[in-house]
Amino acid sequence: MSLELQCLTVGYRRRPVFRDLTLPAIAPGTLVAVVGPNAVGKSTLLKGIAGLLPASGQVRLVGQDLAALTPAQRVTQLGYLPQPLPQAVPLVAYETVFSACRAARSLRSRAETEQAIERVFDALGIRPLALRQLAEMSGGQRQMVGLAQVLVRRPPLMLLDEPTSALDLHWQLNVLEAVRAATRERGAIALVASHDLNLALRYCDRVLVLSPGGQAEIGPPEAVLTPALLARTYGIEARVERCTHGHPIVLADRPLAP
Amino acid sequence: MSLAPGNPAALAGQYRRFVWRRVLCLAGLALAAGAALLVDIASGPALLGLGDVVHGLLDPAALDDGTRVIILDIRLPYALMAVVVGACLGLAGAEMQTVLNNPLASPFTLGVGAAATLGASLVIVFNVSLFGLAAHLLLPLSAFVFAAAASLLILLLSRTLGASVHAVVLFGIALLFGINAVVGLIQFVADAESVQQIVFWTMGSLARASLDKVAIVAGVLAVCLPFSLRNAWAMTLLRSGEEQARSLGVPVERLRLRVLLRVSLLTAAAMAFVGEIGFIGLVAPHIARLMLGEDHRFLLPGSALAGAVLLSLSSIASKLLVPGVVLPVGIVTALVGIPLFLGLIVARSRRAAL
Repeated sequence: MSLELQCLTVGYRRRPVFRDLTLPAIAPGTLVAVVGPNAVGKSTLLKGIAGLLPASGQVRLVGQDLAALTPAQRVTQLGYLPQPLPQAVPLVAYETVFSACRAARSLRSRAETEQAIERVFDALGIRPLALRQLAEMSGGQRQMVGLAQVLVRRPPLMLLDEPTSALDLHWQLNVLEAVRAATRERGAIALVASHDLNLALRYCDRVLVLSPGGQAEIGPPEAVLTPALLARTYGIEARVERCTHGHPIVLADRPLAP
Repeated sequence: MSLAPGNPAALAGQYRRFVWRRVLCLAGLALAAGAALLVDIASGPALLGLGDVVHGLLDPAALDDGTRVIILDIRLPYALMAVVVGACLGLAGAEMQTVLNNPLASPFTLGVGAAATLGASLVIVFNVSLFGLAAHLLLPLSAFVFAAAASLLILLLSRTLGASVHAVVLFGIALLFGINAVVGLIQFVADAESVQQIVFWTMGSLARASLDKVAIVAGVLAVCLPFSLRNAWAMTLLRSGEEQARSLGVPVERLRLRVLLRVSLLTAAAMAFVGEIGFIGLVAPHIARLMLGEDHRFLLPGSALAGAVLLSLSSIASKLLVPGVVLPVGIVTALVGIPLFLGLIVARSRRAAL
């Protein structure tokens, strides 16, 4: 169930953000952190793969081109978490997730849907929120409900745009544990866009660094993230060290003069 | 954020009980609409008992001629018209607020109402008779055609430039001001009597109701409601976020265009026979939302019922406020609706504070 991007061009109208992006195949069960400076196109890449922006080129999942699928077929293959949090409306968490299942028509029977919802609420640890309204929740809690909307259908490809932006440390780890469990247990592929390099490094198997000018590098974190690359892409002077658990950590020292 | 393990009972069971409360709420609204309808029939210059009304409706042959005429020929069409028009406007408002993601949207937001007024004004002022149609038939027809044309224009513009919320709202507001300017111009050149008639039309009145007109409006409602309910899940999902809905395969633009089409049908049908009735389309959805939440399986029928109750109560009030005079119902909708609306908000915030 590998993911291949070939000659992918994504953009708004006549202004492509990427031109001819080609990446080596991403193996099943891989959690990829998508990092890069502001406005480099992390969200654009995820939207392009999700089919939400006009794109040319190929996104092949298990050999089939996602763009060639009907919207209904594509929905069964991928789950996308947009950057905006779910709106603070009087919908309870349970029906927010339920409506995602029903509108996507991805789960057949009602019992199957109910089991899937039960499972995802437990996996994310948000069971106590099930009958609370989005309008009464904090931003972080709404973000968890948004994640439940994506994870409930167990898509083979997960595209998560800043899934931890509104979360405290406990819930950041909780979410990434859940996403990593999904990749490990059922061989799903997750692309997680993030500004938090160290959080991403801790959980990802591969890191995809997008640089201004449309360059992209993908590989194991310790191989890709070097002080030279951080200087080039982020314009910072930084060190990459290893914490006591063996994870690489980025220590940013100061911004470089432009 | 709470870390408590929560109730071990299955979430599905808890949610079903939660849904049951909403079903009861919806049934309560339906009962309220029925009760308001009966009181509406009973109230008026010739006071009738509620019992007489119920007996009269069940067994018209047993009534004396005078009462039968009052109940069946005069009050029943008015009261039914209030119910169906209120339901149309409530449903249209709820759909509009959802697809435009705007709590201030109503069937009148995008100039559909103003266009109907323009259609009516033209007939009133120029006193036209087309294809041998008398003015009393031509007026609703013209109002309907203009309202439908206005929606069509918004639809066409939105289609060509992408039906984003901003595009639709901006076109609609521009159209609204444009049409209002033309109506103003017509009023300026019209004679005093015509201006009076136009103003009266914009106040909205049930006095023009008859059973065949009720049947037409009810027919439009009966056609639109099933289509609305078919989109209920998509609209519920849309409320939680547009991008998420889009990524789950909801064709958001197409949904928005379809809703605009339904709203213009509902609004044009409702306005054609009773004139402009504001406020209901704006507030009925909010009342339904306070009682039922955003699950559109309940919100859509709930808004229709809330609209029916509101306009029914307004119709009752229009007969009682000034003894012996039936006020145009469009004037009283806000007077009746606001206390009800505020009451609900206060009750809700009290409950939340407990």
